[in-house]
Amino acid sequence: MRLLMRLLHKWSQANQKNNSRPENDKPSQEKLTESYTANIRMIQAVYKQCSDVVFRPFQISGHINATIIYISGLTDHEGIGQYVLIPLMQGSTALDEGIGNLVEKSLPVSEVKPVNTIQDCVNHLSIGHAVLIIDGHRQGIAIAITKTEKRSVEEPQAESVIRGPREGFTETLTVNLSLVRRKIRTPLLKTESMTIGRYTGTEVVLTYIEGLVLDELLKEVRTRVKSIDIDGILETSYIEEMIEDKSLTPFPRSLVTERPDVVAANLLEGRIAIFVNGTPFVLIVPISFFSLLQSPEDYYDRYIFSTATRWLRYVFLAMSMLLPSLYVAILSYHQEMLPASLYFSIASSRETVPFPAIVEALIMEIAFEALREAGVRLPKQVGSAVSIVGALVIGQAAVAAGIVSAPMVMVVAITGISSFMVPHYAIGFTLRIIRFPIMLLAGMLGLLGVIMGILAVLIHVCTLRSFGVPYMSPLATVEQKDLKDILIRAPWWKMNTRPSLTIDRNIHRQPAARRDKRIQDEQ
Amino acid sequence: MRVRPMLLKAGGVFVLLVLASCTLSGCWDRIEVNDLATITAVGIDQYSDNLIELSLQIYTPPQGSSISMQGGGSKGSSSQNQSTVISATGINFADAVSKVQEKVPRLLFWGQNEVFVFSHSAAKQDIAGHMDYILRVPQIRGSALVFVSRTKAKDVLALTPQLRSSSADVLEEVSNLKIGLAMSAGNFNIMLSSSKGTAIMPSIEIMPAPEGQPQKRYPAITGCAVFKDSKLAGYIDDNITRGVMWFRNEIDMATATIVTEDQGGIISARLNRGRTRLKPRISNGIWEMTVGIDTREILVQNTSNTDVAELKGTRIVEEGLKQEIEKRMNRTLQIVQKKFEADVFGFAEAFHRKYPKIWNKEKGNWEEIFPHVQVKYDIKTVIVNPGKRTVPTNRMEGEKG
Repeated sequence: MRLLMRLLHKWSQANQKNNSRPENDKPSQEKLTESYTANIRMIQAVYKQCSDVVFRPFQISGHINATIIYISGLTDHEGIGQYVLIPLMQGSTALDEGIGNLVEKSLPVSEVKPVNTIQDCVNHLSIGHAVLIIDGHRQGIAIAITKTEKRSVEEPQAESVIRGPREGFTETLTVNLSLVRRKIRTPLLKTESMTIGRYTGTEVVLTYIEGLVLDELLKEVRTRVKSIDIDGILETSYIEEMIEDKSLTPFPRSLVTERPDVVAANLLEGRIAIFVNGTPFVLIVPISFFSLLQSPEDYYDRYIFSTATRWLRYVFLAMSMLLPSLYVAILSYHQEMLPASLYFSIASSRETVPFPAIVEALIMEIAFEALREAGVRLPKQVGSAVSIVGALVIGQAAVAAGIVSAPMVMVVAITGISSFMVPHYAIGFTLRIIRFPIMLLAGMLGLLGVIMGILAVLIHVCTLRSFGVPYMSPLATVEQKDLKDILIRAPWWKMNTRPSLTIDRNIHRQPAARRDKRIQDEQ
Repeated sequence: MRVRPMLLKAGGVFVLLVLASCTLSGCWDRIEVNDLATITAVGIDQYSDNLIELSLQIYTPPQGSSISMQGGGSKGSSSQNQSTVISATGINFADAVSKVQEKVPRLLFWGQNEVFVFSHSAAKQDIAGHMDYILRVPQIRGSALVFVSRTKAKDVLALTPQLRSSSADVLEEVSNLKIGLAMSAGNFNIMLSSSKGTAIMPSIEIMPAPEGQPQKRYPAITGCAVFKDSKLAGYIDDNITRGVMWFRNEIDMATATIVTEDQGGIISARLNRGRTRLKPRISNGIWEMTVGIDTREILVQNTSNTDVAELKGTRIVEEGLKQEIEKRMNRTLQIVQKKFEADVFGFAEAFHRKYPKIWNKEKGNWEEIFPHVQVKYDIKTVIVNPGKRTVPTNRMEGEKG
């Protein structure tokens, strides 16, 4: 670990030394001049050897030279013909009264902006706008005729529910924002846009509800996101790792979701959602450990079932972390803890196994992880073959060959299933990773080792924070009011207050009187 | 991003420790199940005057590949003969254990042992020495059951009974049914030490084999062995044992059968719930014990003319049961108090609790006092459930008595 940290340290130092900007990564701030040819040449120079950039010279009203520039594929060809070229070429616009007149009379396009510098031109071109350069003018016109290739809104793959909305985010930022805006109509829903990535210029949007979000929190998130200076942002994970409080931990401190309803619910609890263009995954900060254990469906099912499901989840969460370790510890140190008949049946199935229990457990767990990874990576057609072979090899052949014992297979299977019971994939991963060191401890020290492992994990988890919110809240630093959404899922008429760690004013979801009235009605 | 150096150091040390212990074989003191000889029962015989013979019933897992998952065919044969008995002699328990260990290629494992069987001859000698080993070695369970066998203990262990996998299993399960007295090593020791070596322990005998299967002999609990001065003093039969259990508030399953004189029939009732309370009294130097018994009974058979559907009939039955219990307890007193003069009822403790000062003065004389303690009864029986059927057998349904 020390080695690892030293390496990390070295890297970050190297990063600091090398802080000079790579040259030629941004076009100049040069202004457009009155010389038409010079302007065109400058833009051509920026886009040299870019086969997808189109320069289309034409004449406005038959006598003024102009060029429309766009990137094919990003811009709507037909739109340019219909709404730009036809009106301009056929109209009889005089340009004496300036560009404003032209825009007002002859450009039937809703979003039009003047551009003054080469940089402006490039910015607009890169997001799919067309830029019109007119002879004799210091200003160009950016015309928003974007064509977006987008996937339709589909059911999210990784987070499916039985009851609840079936829409999921897509790769298109505007679609994603609109999905949230459709759920939260208040103008207090703010979307702060910024561009990050020296080369990718990715649009990143901070979303929050004004009046619900803590001011300091918002400021902190904003500074952290803005301070990112990297060549490209291709997924939310880039941002996630860059803005985390402490990075040497397997526990994720932010929630990743592709469901608009999850984002909306979290915004209403005063959290901040970070959207990144080009990925359907949205980052939500700050969160606690328990946010990762809550499924959106918890809030859509009846509260009694949701409470039961939550507890089932907690139990299996512990199992996915500890079951193999407990098995190993009991089998190699505390044989007297098993009931006699269970002991004898395990002993008889272990009789021919050549490995000690800890090795057996490691073999099986690693094999299981390999199978899981292979199943995820492989194309769907091959995936089923892998799972069949895996099930046969791990489940049957290994036992028949006497390499592992049947109870061990069962333990691994239960552990595997329980690690997939967690609603958020990321935390399942964490638990599976933690399992291995605890297993080693169990193999070396028995139950003592298991307890040591649990304590170490607990201590570690209690030191974590996600943007100032204690990771184990509201359990560690008990907030009694917030336990209604942790130990149980309180019925909605009882969910009076928002979580206190992300909200300091406007804490009531509904008038507290409502509940009392309801009870009176019942009586 | 920055991690404090202290933490780093601690983390580094931890990683080093883990890595080092993976490679150092000395850090792995685990013992695999495969390397254990699991003891399921222990038999202690007196070999000669100075030597005891210790027999260990050891679980032997089925060998070979018969335990593979495919098919359940091997199941039947694998349940057969799953244990072997290995014996060795020694000066005392510990010595004999070490001798057995020499004969067994696996490490002896006591954690699953549930049964200790002392032979008649071993129990005749001092049993306290054996109990010392049993309770001193941490791995041995204090909850393991103790028995006295009227035959050789080794023979009991070697039995291959039919309904259970081993003789140890038979004894354990029979004790769990609580028909007879069940005594754990820990409780037995408490009894021994609290009353100067007076205690009881269930005794077992080998029952004859079921017809046609001479191999299938099995052990069964037949009464109790009474210890005085940590030595076997004698046996009491099943009936007396149940009387003792009444006194000790341990009765759980009991069926009392009475013969009603006037109605000329037999009535049986099963105990549903019974409680015994000992109320000691010392007045004018006379030690007196009132045994308060409170029972709820369920009628299970009624071949007399008594109609328990009527209050009068119920009263008759309750009175009969009361007398039956009292009779049984009196018989118990006759033998245990007068003949053996062994306080296995827990009278000493009851007096100690109620009269701590007098007890402290007189406890040395308890052996003289006990046979003269006067016992009175205060028995309440209630029929709570006449069963599915309300009318007696020899009357037609609907007929009025």
